[in-house]
Amino acid sequence: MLLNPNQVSEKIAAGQNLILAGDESLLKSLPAGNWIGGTIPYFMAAEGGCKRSDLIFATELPKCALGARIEVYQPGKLDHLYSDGATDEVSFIIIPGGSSTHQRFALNAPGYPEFASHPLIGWISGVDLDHLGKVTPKVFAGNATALENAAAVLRLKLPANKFAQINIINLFQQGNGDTITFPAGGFAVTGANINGETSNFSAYLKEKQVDTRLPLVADYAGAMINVSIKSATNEKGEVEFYAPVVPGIEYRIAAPVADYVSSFVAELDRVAPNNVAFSCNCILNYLYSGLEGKTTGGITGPITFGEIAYQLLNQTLAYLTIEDLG
Amino acid sequence: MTPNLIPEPVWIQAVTQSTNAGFEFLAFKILLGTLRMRLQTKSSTPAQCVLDLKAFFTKHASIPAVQRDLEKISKLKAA
Repeated sequence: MLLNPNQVSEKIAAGQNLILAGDESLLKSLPAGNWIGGTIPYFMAAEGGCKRSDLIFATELPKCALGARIEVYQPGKLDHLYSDGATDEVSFIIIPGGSSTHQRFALNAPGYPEFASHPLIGWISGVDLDHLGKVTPKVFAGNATALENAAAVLRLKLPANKFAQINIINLFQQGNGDTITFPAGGFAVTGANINGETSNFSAYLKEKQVDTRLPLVADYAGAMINVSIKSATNEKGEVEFYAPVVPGIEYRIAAPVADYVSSFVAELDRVAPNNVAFSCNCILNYLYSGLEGKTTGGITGPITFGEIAYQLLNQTLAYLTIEDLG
Repeated sequence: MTPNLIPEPVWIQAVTQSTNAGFEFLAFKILLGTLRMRLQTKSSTPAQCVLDLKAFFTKHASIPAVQRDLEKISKLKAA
C-alpha cells in the first residue's frame, strides 16, 4: 500500500516487518526497525500503476511470522545468500541496480551453495527514468543508511505449519523462431549460435528485424525465464542485456503478447494465487505494456529494475505466498 | 514417496531429457534447468546432478507440490 513517511514510521515503531520502496530521501527519513527498502518511484498500487516520489510503497509481511532478522551482504559474501537461510525462513532481498553486487549476483547465483533450495525473493532497485545516469539506485537494511553496493536481506521466520512458495507470472512464451545459444555468457555478447551456426548476434537481430522489446526466453523444465534486451548494439558492436545469458541454455525470441493487462488478468484468474504476501513487477512490463493508470487484478508492489525469484529475472512478475503444510 | 525409492536410471533420465513432465514447483524447475545447463557445458556429471536433486527433494519433502513433482519423476521411463 502507498503510505506517507509518517504512516510508515508508525508501522516501523509498531514492530511490523516491512519491505519498502520509494524515493531515497523518503527512505532516509525512516527510523530503524524491521524493514528493508530500495529506491524506485514506480508502483503497481491498488489504484493502478503510478509514479510517486512523495509516497512509499509498503508491503506488510504476514503477521504469522515468528520474527525477522536483517543482514547486509557485501559483494564478496553473496555466495552465502542461500546457505545462510534457515530451513524455517523465507528471505527477501533488494540489490542496487547497476552495482557490482547486482552483476555478481546475476552472473553467479546459480552456482552458489544451496541455490534454489532456500526461498529467496526480491528485486533490483532503480531510479526515476528521468534521472538515469544522474543518481544511483540504493538499498536500505533496517536503518536510514543508503547502500549503493550491497544487498539488503530480511529473513522472515515462519511457524512450523507454514511454508513459503515463490512463483512467477511470465506472459512470454518461446516463439517459433530460431534456437539461439551463446558460446560465452554475460550481460553483453557479440557472438551467438543460431540453429547451431555461428553468427554476429547484433547483425542477426537487425537482419531479422526483431522487436527488441520482446525478451529471449529459455525453458527451465517448464518455467519460462526471460532475458531482456537492453541494446541491440553498443559502441563495441555487442548486444546488451538486463540479465546475463548463460552458455548451455537454449533461447528463443518471445512470441508477442497482444494485450499485457488483459492477458495478465486472465493468467491471474487461471493461477488464482491466495494469500500473496509480496509481489513485484518489471519496469519493462510497466513501460512496454502501458501499465500506468491500469490495475493488474489486485496484485500490487514495486516496479523494479529486475525481479528475483531464486535468481535474477526480467519482464516477469514474481510473487510469494505463505501456505499451510499438510 | 522418498527420493531413494526411485531407481538411479530414472533420476538420470530426469536430468538428461530436455522435455518436462508438467512439474509444478518453481524452485525445482529452476534447479533442474540449471542442472541440465551444467550437463550441456560439461561442468557437472549426471551423478552429481542426481545427488543435487535428491538433496532438494529430501529437504523439501513436506511441501505438497514437491511431493507431486517427485511422483512425476517416479513415472518417467528409465534412460
